[in-house]
Amino acid sequence: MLAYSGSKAAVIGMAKVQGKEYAGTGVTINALAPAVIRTPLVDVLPEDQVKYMTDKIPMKRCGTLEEAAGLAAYIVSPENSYTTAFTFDLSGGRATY
Amino acid sequence: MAARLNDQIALVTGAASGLGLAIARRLAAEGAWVALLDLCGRPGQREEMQREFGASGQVYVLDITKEDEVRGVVERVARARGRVDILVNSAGITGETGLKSHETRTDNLRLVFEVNFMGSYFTSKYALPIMVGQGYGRIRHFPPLPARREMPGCWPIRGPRRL
Repeated sequence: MLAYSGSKAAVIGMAKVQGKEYAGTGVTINALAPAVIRTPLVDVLPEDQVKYMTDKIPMKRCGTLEEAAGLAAYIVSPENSYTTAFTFDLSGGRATY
Repeated sequence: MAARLNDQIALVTGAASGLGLAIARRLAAEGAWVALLDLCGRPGQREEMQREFGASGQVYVLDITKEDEVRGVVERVARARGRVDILVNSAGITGETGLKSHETRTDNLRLVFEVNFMGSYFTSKYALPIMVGQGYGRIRHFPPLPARREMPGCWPIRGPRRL
C-alpha cells in the first residue's frame, strides 16, 4: 500500500497548501477522504473480503455512492464558502484521515 | 433536487465509472454542465456516457498523466463554456497492493503517483488561473478507491490480510 497511501498523503498535502495559497480569491480547495464506498466493484467481491473491510468501520457498513456524491456536491457548491484547505472525512467513523 | 449548481461549469476526472461517475451524475442533477474526463478504456464507453449526459455534459477522452492533454481539455472547456466553476478530481488507482515496501516495484509506484498526484496537480494547475480570474471556484481533490478493474493488481486488499 506504499504507493497508494503515499500518493493519498501527497494529495492531502496539496489541498492544504493550495487552500491556503488561494484563500481570499473566491476559490476553495478541499480534499475528501473516503473509506470503503459501495461501488459496483465492491459488489462483486467475496462477502468475507467486504466483511474484513467493514469490520474496521464503526458503522459496520460501506458508504453508498449517494452518500459520497452528496458530500462531494456540497464541497463544490456555493454553500461551501468558508472551508478551505480541509480534508472531509467519509468513513462511517473510521476516520481514515 | 435543488438546482444549487445551475449554470455552473464542472470538470470531473475519472468520470466514466465508480465514484467519479456518481459525482458527475449528481452535479448534472443539480444543474451543472459537466465535462467528463476519462481514459474511457472500455469499447463504446465514450458513446454510452455521451448518450446518458446528452446536453448536460461532454465526454473528453484523455490520459490524466499527460500535462499537454490536460491543459488542452481545460482550455477547450473554458473557451467553449466561458468559465470553469468546479473541479472534481476522482481519477485514481491503488497500484499493486498486498506488498511490503521492499517488494514494491518502482515503476508501479511511479505510475500511482503520476495518476493520483500529478493528475490532480495538472488539472488544478490549469483550472486555478481561470477560477482566480473569475473570482470563484470550488476544487475537490481525491482519488477514491479505483474503479479500473482491467489494471492488473489494482485492488487494495489481496485477500483478508493485515497490511
